Amino acid sequence: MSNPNFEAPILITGATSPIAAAYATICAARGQGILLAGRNVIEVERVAQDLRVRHGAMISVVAYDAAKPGSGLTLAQQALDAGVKSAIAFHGIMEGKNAFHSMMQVNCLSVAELFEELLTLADKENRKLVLAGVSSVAGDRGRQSNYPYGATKAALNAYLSGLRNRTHLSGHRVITVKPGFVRTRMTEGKVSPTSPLLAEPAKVANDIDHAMRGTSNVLYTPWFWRGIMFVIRSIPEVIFKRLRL
Amino acid sequence: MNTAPLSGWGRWPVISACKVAPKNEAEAIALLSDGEKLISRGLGRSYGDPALPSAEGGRVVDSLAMSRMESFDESTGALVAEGGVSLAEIIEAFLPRGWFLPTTPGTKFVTLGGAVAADVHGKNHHVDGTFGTHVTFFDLVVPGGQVLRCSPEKNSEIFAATIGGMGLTGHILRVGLRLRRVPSAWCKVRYMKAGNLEAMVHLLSEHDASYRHTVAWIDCLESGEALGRGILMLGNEAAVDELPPEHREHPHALPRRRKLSVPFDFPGWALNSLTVKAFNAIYYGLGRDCEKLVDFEKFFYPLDAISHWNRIYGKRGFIQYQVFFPDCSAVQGLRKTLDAISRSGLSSFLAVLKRCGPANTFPLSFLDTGFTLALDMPVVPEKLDVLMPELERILAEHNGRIYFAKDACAAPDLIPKMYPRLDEFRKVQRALDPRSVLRSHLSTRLGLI
Repeated sequence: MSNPNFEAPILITGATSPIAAAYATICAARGQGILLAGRNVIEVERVAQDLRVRHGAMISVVAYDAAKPGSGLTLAQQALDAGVKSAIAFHGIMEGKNAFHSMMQVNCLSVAELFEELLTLADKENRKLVLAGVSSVAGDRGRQSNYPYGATKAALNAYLSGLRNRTHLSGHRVITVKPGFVRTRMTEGKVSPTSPLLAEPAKVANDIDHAMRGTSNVLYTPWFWRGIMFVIRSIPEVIFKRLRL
Repeated sequence: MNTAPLSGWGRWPVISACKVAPKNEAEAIALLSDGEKLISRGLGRSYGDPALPSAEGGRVVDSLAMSRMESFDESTGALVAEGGVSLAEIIEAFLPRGWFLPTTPGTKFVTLGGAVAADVHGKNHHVDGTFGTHVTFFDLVVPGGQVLRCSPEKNSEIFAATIGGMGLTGHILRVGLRLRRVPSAWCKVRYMKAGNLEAMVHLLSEHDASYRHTVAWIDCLESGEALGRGILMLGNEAAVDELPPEHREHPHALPRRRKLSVPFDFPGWALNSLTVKAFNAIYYGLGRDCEKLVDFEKFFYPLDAISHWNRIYGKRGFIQYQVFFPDCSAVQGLRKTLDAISRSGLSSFLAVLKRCGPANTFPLSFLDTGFTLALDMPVVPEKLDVLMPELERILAEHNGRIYFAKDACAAPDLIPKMYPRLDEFRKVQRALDPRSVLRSHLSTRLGLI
């Protein structure tokens, strides 16, 4: 734990998702304090209690509903009060195009609201933050199978990239995390459970931890998605529009 | 819903099953309320068919999505955790703090729920009894969706029937278990060679009183004079001042090891009586009477170091045969069993013999004062068809019984004789499950209910 950011507590949102829980396990195992935020406080408390029993970790639970505009402002204040120096937004939803507005709110606008407020408050105290937004490879190019979700993640990608650009000189770090298929509820029934592309949440969490403690800006996890998405982005639109993806 | 081929650790038999994994209490309750047949399954380490559906395409309730720890009392060692938590996770969390399982089977990759359902035992059975005797309570979802807290005081009949009850009374949600303080993560182990079965039985009986952990490896391809020869391992937990100086600072830390794996199925012929005979001869030949310090990982879980070790038997799979004989008929029964297996030429890579302590109060629990022998054999149907009836005859003649958690091919006729308290179990089971929802391939095959 040479990086001082990882001796201070970390804010983790979307705490009941398997990737967030796996990441929280990594933090708890090394003795890092955690502020776990999520909508279903009872479930979040169960995750927290499990980590306390296993690792004797210092964990606080806060209610956070990303679907409600404004809730990120409260959360940012609570996080800064708790002394966090890093935060990862794991929360996200995947629904059909009828839920486009709520998906945009949860997947992109809420992250922007939270990160902006965190940075504003941190700048006042001259605190430097490491922020990571968990996006998706689906944001790299819209495909007919789930482009509304992809569009919200594309917006998040552009937002994070801009934020990285803006805060670079002031000493903050912003990381874009793009997981491929991960064994979670989101992929259940959509990706074959034996698919070689399907990654375990613990593997993804481990990659994220490396990125958090290293220097990367955009993380594809597992690594091979960088290649896959490069190819997918390179297909000319005249061809792409005819594909069934 | 999708079905996929499923088997136990022995990879035989294979039954197509539909796996459903409830993620919280409400989902588990819903599953047990819909009246469709099902059986719970954890890490699938039982060898035969206890965690397989009763018929092709049936349902298994995967407990692994509910694997949270809920509380631990540092002063008493009382742990409460969900049924899907594995013994490996418990060791990882608590051994560094000086706590260990009250007793453990030969693999740590079993769930709490599974350990209760099979009432597993370990090398310390003669001292500490079975796993179930250290369980303070559990919460059980029964057919209809009711959640019952069961303990020796509350719902005591259901408590007793569930321990060793092979999942046939309900789905175990959470378990309260008393962990035990250990001085270190090391055992002081004494190794002794025994030239034949009588010598081995004698050594085991003689040293039981002075060692907490005892087990013997048996070379079961030998016959005649050397039948039952093997190496006895006797262990006591080591105190800190008995450890080498480099381990005294962190006595509960396990040495780091590289994990080995069997990456693919061995061809069927790889394990035959010749290769196993050669292995056994070398292993026995190299064995010496000596004393060594061995860490818990290596002492309790030698095979866990090799993931997928069940692939060494190849695609055909293997069966595990574990039998118990009471003291009065043990030597005769063991001799005849080993002799029959030796003659069959079915090569058993691993055979272990253990002296066990008195029975507990659970009607379907396996062990009692006497000896238990466990060994595995490749699935060679034409040979097994001859051997199994012979083994059952020996069993019947010598008051033996088989262990449900290992069994894949016993016949139903002898079960009531092996388990004289079966009717007591059936009464509790039928009251809980009048619509016959809880059924496994094993329970149907053996007519347990």
